Amino acid sequence: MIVLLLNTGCSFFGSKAYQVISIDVLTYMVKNESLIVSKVEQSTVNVQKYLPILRVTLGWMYFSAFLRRTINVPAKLNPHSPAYVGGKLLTFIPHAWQPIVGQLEWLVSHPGILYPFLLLFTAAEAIFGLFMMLGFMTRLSGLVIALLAWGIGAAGGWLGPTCVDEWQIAAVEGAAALMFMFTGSRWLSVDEYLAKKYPSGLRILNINIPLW
Amino acid sequence: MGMDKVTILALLGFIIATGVTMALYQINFQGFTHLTNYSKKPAYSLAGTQLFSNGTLRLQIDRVAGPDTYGGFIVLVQILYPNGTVLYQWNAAQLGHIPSSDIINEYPLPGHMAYSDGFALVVPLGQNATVILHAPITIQPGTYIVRVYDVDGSYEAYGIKFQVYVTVNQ
Repeated sequence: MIVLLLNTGCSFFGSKAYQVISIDVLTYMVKNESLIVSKVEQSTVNVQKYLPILRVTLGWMYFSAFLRRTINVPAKLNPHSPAYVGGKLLTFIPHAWQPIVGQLEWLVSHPGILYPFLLLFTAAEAIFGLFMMLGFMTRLSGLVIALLAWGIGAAGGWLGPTCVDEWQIAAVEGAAALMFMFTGSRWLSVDEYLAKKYPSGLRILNINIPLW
Repeated sequence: MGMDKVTILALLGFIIATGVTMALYQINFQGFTHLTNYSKKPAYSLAGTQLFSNGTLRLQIDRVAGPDTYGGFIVLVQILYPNGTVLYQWNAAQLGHIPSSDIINEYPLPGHMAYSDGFALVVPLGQNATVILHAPITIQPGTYIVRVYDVDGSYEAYGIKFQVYVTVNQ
């Protein structure tokens, strides 16, 4: 049996005190500690693996809005069509959150500004919906989608004759997106490779921005 | 006791998300006080309506509640004395055939314009239209009530009466 003498660093009766531990005990301690550490790491990895269950569905909610307006029913982005999504903003007005009412009224009164606004909004939904599904810049996508969801909630969240529908959509998607802003995404994500290559995020000047 | 960074961030996110959810619930539906779903029944506001002694009614009609995808359909417009007696009224057949030149929509959005569809005056959610109607009578100066009825038979929803007091001047 090999005996190790460990310097505990404290004085004992005027002389250095040594703790005597057998290698067996030491091995057990190290093993046990790494076991605890690896268990914690493993549970984090495991939790990460369940995130795509929600992430892809959440992203699809926004990306599919873009598909509906461009591929399924292009008339939705035609200002001269009855299907034009600009009309949706009009239906928001009666019970939208007060600070937004004036902006909605202004937008629907200015067709020349309403149209580029809708294009921009649709593009944002397409880009960040796709990013969320791919797990690319998940933290940034989470923030943008949370703002989109809650913005729609404050404007048209009062709509929904069946099950207070729009509020449920806005609240759940907003909370889910905000969660992804904090968790980021690794497994089944582009971010996994980005994080390996650039662990401290995007570096602009001297600031590291954790986009993934 | 100091909290680590992760705990602080997690609490912050939790408070923000839960706060927005509850705020949306209360502000959009008064869910914690008097639950109201404004999408169930059509409602109209007539603020700004004018009546003239020559019988012209400038009906200012703002659709303020009800489903976003359908209606509402106005089938009766009445001018009443303050005691509730009807002075003059336009029925569904008349309201279904108002010339489009007499319907002025505030917001020029296709698919969301007020119009006569042959059966009723249709006012989509959010639209605010001025509808000009002509009563073939002379109206004495005084105060009158202008009231509209939705096709569901009511002139009131969510405590909003689809009527307004107007004054006819000399």
